Amino acid sequence: MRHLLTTLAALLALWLPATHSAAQAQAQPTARVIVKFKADSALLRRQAQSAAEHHSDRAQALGAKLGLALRSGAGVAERTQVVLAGGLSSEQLAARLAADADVEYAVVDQRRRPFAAPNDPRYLTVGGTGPAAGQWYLRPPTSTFVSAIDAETAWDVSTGSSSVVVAVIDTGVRFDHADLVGRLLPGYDFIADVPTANDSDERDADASDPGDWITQAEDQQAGGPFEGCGAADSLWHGTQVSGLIGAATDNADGMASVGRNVMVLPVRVLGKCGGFDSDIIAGMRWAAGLNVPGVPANPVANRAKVLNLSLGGPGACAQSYVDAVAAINAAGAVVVASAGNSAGHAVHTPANCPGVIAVAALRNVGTKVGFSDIGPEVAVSAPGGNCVNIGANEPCLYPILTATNAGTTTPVAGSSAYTDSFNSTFGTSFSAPLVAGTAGLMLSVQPALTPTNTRDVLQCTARAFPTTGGASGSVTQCRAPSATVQFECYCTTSTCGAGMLNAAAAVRAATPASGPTVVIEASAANAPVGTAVTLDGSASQPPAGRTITGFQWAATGGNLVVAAGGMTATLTPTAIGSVTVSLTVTDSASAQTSASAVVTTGSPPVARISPSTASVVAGESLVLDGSASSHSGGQFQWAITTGAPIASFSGATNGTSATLLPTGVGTVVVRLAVTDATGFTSEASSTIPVTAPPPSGGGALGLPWLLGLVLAVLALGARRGTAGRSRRQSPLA
Amino acid sequence: MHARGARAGPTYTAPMLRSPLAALMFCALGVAACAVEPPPPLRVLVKLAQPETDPAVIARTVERVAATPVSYLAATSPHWHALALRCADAAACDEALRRLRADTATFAAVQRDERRRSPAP
Repeated sequence: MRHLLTTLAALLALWLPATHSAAQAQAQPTARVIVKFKADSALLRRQAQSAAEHHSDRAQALGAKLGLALRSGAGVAERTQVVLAGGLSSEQLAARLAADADVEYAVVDQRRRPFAAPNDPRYLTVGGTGPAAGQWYLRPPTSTFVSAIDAETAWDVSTGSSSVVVAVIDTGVRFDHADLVGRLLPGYDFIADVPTANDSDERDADASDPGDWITQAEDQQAGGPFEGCGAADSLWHGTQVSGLIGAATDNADGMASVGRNVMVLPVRVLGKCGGFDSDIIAGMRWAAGLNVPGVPANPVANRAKVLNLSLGGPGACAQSYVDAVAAINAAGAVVVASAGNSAGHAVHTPANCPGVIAVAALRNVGTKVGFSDIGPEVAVSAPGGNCVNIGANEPCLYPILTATNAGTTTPVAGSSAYTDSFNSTFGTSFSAPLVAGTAGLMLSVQPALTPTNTRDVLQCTARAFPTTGGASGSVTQCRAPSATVQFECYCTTSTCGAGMLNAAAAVRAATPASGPTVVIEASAANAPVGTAVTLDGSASQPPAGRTITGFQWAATGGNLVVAAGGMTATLTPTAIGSVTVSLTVTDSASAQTSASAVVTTGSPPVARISPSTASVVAGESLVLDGSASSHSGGQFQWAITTGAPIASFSGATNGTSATLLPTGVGTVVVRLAVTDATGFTSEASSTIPVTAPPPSGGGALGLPWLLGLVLAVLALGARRGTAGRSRRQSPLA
Repeated sequence: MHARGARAGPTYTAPMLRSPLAALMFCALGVAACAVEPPPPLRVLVKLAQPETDPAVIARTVERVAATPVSYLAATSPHWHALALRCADAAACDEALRRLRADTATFAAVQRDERRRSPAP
């Protein structure tokens, strides 16, 4: 017993200091930074000369230099290692180290996590009624799941913003499905036809789905509202689509959704036997925040940025849809629609309307699934579910698992059912929400994306269609739609859109650039041929916590000389025209940003004044002519640079000629500046003596004029003092 | 009066129903009567040249131009409205639609209000 107590006391003694120091460490978080020393670092040279060349020595030496207590972490590469410190943040430590002359760069050693599959139990695999493939369509592609959209990697960038609303224009929704609780906005019911609505009233604020079943009797009732609609159980179509876009994800329950945290706005426009254009368009407009007479406006916070339309019918796009989609796109909302399920025929409306992102459906192997319609209107394709097994009671292998209700007619209260391998979900109806959900993620990272931007990014990032691997050896390339059905085929960009949806690449591409800010300062925007322009990129800034590691200059012409270090360059234009100079700045996280500037080059004008040398008599005018200048439509400006007190211009000073009017004797210097259309300026000057006017009468008068002159000089000499004062005072008169 | 009435009764109802030939004729008449029953209303979407939101005004305008009874169904936007045309027969509905489309000063566009679905493949 004594031995046991002694042991416990010893353990306690060991544990107490340990917990104390652990608490201290917690109070002072450790900064972790990756440092790369410069190749010519003096610190490294000294280290190399010492006997013990260790990372720890480098860290300590660097710390001593900066007045920081640095600890060494793991080596990363030659000249690169982790450095640790206490008492400051990783960002602060990186900034301090990056400023040191021995350091090439210093960046925060970020914690990264593996791409995590959500913990929803149906995501990876489902036992029992399956599908065994789970939600294969959301995972990264593999050789079996070629068309999978890789939402998993997209979620590493964004799991969606609750401020982004995706409208599901459909049959309404079951608000009580466990995977949709908290994921739905109130929505609205736009069905004006009471039999179609199946909820005893016309338009109302209740977007819940009462069921859309059609009995045999209704289907066969001559003249009845549902004659020929086909007997069927309730589909819960809006609930299925909503589940794919916004089911609660990573909540250890049910399924995962593409949009995860985006909010779903249920807009009920389909009831028994579908719905009418008038209600569908009204619902679309309302979802995007546009006016629908007689219906309260959709609150601003609930306005959709994305509309999903998993519905349609054959025929050309009607004017009502053209108008509606144009207005909705102009309001900034993206419209996504399913292409149709009539087996390779033309894309249905509204998917075939301008401004709509039409989505065709793919098999797991990336070929067009048999039921999907196709055509040039398709923007992109996405999985639509396919079974492989077609025998009775055989499980469908690759359906699109999603939320549903167990009711066959009216809903089963509180039912949180899912489709499976025997109650399978497939159709272009379920390809569209994969695109709509991806668009929701894209808008979560970049709310400024326009509908056109969104389409462009989805298309640019799509993966190429496979040309092999079809389910059977007889699969051929898809043809343009015709009256003939067309089942599985190898997609082309003219039949199935730009490619297979790649959610990861689309969301990454939509993310705003996070590289350095690039600034180019040029000493002149215009330069004559042969005149050097200095370009300075030193005002460029890295993002917080990073340093700039490189400058790369390029020019479309001229002679470009980059200074050592790359921060500045000199451009000497060699030909008339313009030269575009670009600067790419790289930061310590290898992020790059480019910017460009244009330097306009040309030959400056030549200013010429005619007459170039002339004298003028005081009191007389002299016309100066600049029209001999080579000006090519430029501007003229005349000025008196010397002798302004005794001369002025009479009239305009910005024409091709100017009239000089001297009033006193002396020298006047006139300058002409000519500026051409590109901003180049040239100057010319003319020195003009101004002489006294000749005495009246002149030499022809002979001796009497000479006598008069003598008398005048004598008189002037006698009155010199008075006259001088008078002249000095004259300006005051 | 009574005799006429008594005669009229059996000759108008019972005897005819009891006779197979008469019953056949009655059925034929019934089929003919069904054939001339008005078709279901034709749903149309009209785009007004000038926006209007008063359903009564819109219905009167459409009724005047279409020259057939009309009931207002729903608004889609300030310009677009859904209405039902009640025509004597399909040809009359086609003619009403033609008249609406011809009045371009009142209607910028006229189209059938089609039913759309989300059918399973």
